[in-house]
Amino acid sequence: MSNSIVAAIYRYVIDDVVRNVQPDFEGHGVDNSVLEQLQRSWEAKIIQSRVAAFPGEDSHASEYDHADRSAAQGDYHSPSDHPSINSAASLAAIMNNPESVAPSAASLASLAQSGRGQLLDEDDDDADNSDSQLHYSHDPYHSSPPPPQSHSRTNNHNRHIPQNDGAADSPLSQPHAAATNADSNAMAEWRKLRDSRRRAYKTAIASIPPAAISQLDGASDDEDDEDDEDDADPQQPTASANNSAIPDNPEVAADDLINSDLDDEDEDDEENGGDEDIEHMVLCQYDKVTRSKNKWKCVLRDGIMLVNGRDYLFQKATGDFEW
Amino acid sequence: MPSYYKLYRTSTLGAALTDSLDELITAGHITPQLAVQVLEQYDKSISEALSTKVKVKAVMKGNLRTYRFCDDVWTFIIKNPLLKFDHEITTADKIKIVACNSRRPGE
Repeated sequence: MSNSIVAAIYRYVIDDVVRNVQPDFEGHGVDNSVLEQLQRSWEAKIIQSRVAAFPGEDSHASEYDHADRSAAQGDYHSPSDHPSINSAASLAAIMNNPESVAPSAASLASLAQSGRGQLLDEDDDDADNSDSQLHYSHDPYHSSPPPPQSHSRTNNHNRHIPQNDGAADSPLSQPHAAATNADSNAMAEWRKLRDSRRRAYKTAIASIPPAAISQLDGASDDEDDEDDEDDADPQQPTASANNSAIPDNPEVAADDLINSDLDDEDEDDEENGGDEDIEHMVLCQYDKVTRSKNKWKCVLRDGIMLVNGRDYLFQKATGDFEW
Repeated sequence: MPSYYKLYRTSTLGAALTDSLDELITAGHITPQLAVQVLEQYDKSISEALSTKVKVKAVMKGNLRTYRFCDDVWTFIIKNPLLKFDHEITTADKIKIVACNSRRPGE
């Protein structure tokens, strides 16, 4: 079935993107661990979206199932109890290594380990799990300390992460830091770009079956805590609230809950084609579109199709439509 | 250097990447400029993958409810489409097709 090739293509694209942006990351002085984090997060989101059957999704013993994937599996299977464990383990790792130059490495290692723990024993109880995380999170640090100078830049950010994680103590301070660090115009542009994409995509997924909706919803929640990535993101709670609110009233939810002033572009109508509020979508290119009376013929290519919660890809497609 | 459509950013893969990048930006790990560079690379990677790696042929039939041609982009809304792939058939109540010109401006 054509859906089965989707996973392979997505895997290829993810690897290709990550490989090709590596010089860009280096050019911006961003540590490689951030790129790895990006890849892990991206893969986890795709797996949790359930748009395709991924290798290792159903068989946990698959060799393809490296730590990233199993971390996602862990997310999926036990959504609620891991954030606190992770943050506790990472925090403990830092407290035990006050001179640590690489908390990011430690927390990533503990993250990977938590995934591996999930792989080995899905139903491991909390105490065991956090013990093993604590234990393993020290080892990678001691055995291979990363070069301090290359980490110094990202460390400042990563150092905050395990401590903020789980506790909503200082979520407001972080965005300010990000906003002042980055050019604010670029930030505004990014938000605009991001929100228009998100809105378009959420409009599409609003039409997929409820089961798939709840997985997506749960995924973004768990993701936040599990991966220690965006714990300080004040938009995440509203974003997930947004997800869960979508079945009721997608337009109102999107407008109300995506929080920034910058989000208020009137893009909804354009994105939706006016009155079309629920739809499956095809993104593609056309070679030829012809009409004879009320019969339309389209020759399409290079398409991605999201239908009924599954993604399909095609190289060529013909469309025969009657108006 | 050839340009690539940003069209595919709206897909599952692109939306997931956008969200992941957004998390990194919000956490202060990367700048928005770097995120845009990543998305541009994504545009290239997905476009090449679709044109060179995918061999699936598809057929779509249905009632064309709305059509629009604006800025060289066709948009169709098909009611009750029948979607046939190599070994699979699926349907939906309504599907939106967004299609950019396969011949890009300047080519």
